[in-house]
Amino acid sequence: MNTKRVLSAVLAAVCAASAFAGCSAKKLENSSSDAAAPAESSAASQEGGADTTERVIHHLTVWDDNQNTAAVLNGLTAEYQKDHPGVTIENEKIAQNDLPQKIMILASSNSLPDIFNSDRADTNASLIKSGQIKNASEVLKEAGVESCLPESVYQGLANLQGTDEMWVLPTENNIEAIWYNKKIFEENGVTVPTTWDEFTAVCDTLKNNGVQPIALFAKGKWGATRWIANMTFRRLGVQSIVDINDGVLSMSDPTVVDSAKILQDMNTKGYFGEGVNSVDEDIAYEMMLGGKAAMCYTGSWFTERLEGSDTIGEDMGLMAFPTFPDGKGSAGDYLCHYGLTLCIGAQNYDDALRDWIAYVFPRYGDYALENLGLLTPYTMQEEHETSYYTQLVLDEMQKVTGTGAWLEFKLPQKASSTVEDNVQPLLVSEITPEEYCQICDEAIKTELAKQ
Amino acid sequence: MDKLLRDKKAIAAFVLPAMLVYACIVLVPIVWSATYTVYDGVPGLDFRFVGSQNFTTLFRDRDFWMAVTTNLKYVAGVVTGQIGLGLLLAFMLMFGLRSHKNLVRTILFFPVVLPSVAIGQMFVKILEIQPQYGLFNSLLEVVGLGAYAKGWLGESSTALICCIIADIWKAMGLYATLFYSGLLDIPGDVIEASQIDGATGPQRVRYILLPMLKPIIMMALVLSMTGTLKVFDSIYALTGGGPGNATRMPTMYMQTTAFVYQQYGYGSTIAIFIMIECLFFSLIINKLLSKDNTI
Repeated sequence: MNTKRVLSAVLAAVCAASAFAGCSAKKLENSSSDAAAPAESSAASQEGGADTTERVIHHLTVWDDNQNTAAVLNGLTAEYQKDHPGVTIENEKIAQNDLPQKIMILASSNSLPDIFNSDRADTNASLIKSGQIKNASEVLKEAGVESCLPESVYQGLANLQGTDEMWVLPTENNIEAIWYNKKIFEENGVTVPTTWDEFTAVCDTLKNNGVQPIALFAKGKWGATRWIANMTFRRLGVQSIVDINDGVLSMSDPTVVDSAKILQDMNTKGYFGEGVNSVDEDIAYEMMLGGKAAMCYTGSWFTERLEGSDTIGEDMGLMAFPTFPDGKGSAGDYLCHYGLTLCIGAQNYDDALRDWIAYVFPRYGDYALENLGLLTPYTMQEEHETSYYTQLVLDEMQKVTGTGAWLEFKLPQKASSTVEDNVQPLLVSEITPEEYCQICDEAIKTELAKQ
Repeated sequence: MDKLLRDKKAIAAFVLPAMLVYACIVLVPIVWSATYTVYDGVPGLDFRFVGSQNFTTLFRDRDFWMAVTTNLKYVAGVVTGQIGLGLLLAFMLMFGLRSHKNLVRTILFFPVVLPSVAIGQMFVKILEIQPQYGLFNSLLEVVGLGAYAKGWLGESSTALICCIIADIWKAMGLYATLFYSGLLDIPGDVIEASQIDGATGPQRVRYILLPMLKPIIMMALVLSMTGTLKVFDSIYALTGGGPGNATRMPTMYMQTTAFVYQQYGYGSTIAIFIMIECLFFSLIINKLLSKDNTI
């Protein structure tokens, strides 16, 4: 009986304790130094030349500590700590899909972190309107480091946001183009195409020889809409995508409809292989690395996979999207963007954060390239040795004369989802190109009217 | 015990804590969500009163009604499959198997305890076509039907059926176990008497077993229907609502509207609709139950 009572009491205590298991404090990811200090800056004090102001910089990110932005900020903060031992960075990782929701929840309770990733222009627009983020160009100017970014980047980011000034900070410098397997091209006797007719001839030859011409990751949807965007701005010029996003150019424009039709025909002809809507980005990259597909349209971030591959060596090449006859766009128009941008929270912005920004961002480019092989638009202070693929991308970037954007780059989220969701039935001919464009048009008009 | 149960203060002391928790976790959010239906935007940021606009939008929203239609097709398929196959399996366990009943019951019940996401991922692999054929496409190839191999989850014509099959497979063991326990409660002499009277197998099922299982069948219907009307996790794991919107359910549309499109008011409106829909179907089934006077 006593044993039963003791056992009952222990089990009851365990149950009670487990009820509090969910009440843990916010999980601390690896910070670049020891225990976090309070968020408020204490009065600056100097000890042996080092500023001992205590400040924890809260960073909301989609990256692991050893990846991309998180790795760069961690590393540079560690350097900053030599003279500012009281400054630490605390990273909170979140899945990219959950990012817009998390940001809006934090914004509604005025508790946005000091610095955070943001991947949507409409989310940024809400934050700008409500004064929840700082104007990044003004912050850099105030910190005296506005030259850490070239003028073209200020303008580029402002254009992508649809504002007069740059409100967010870039983290990467990406171009998108067609990666191709040089070995497969050689074995099949085809050369790098520059025009659309040459490109389709290459695809036909590869298909006839039993090679899947293109790995298209339509499961993620944006992999397919990129083809429509590229075809459109090759034919109508880069401004056409901006016009679509502003509701000035209709998706039912004959050229846009024809671009959608070409994409559909490419799948019908078998250029994308079987089950295109089941192929996600990882599978497409595996197919490229395994030599199961000859080409893949994706961004310069593919270099990370290439450099991590034991089999591909220097077999991969990079080519521009083909041009169209009589197209208003040029071969120098590339779809470029700046990675997952960073926003600076307005609520806790103070001198300590400004000083940290003044240290970190002029050094961002050098640190990212040297330690991660990551290309960024930040002004470089030093010379660096680059890998084969990084140099390939840098060489391709030299050819950029015009910057295009993706089809849904600043559409309201619902319109953007409509454009992306309906590309899957378009690919497998469940809807016609005209129907696809009409559905997109209606969604764009409806959502833009609400703004 | 009688004295305790007649004491209202004692009843309140036992029931009140649970009711408070229920009210805080269930009732308060429902009322809160209902309040949001007359607003638009993001709470705390740009929330504005819009009156009945969200309801007007709901009735005109083609995407929403497409999701409701998809859901009703899904409910019809899954409920029929789960109840129908559950019954068949129960009859097999009761009358078909001579030995190893416990082992077969355990195997049948095994999918029920697996997480929905794990089952979703398993079926994604089974139905895979790239980078290599999954189990199903490989089997088709082996039996000479390789021409029919396709991305089953990537085409609108087959994606919903795959989702239905996955959910039937997951839960039919649960219903088989429920019906089997119901069959065990049927007196053996009733079945013997029917045999003596010359009733055939199908006649026994139709005139004796099914009527006596009716309360359990009705309960299973309620369980299956409310579960399928609110389905989210298994479809999300399998197709994410795609291809296009072919497998998008109202719950997924609600989640996307509120948390991705940042239209919390309209998302709440959809949530209220789903709640009313579930209540409506539960009411119908309750009416059938009380009509039969079986409870």
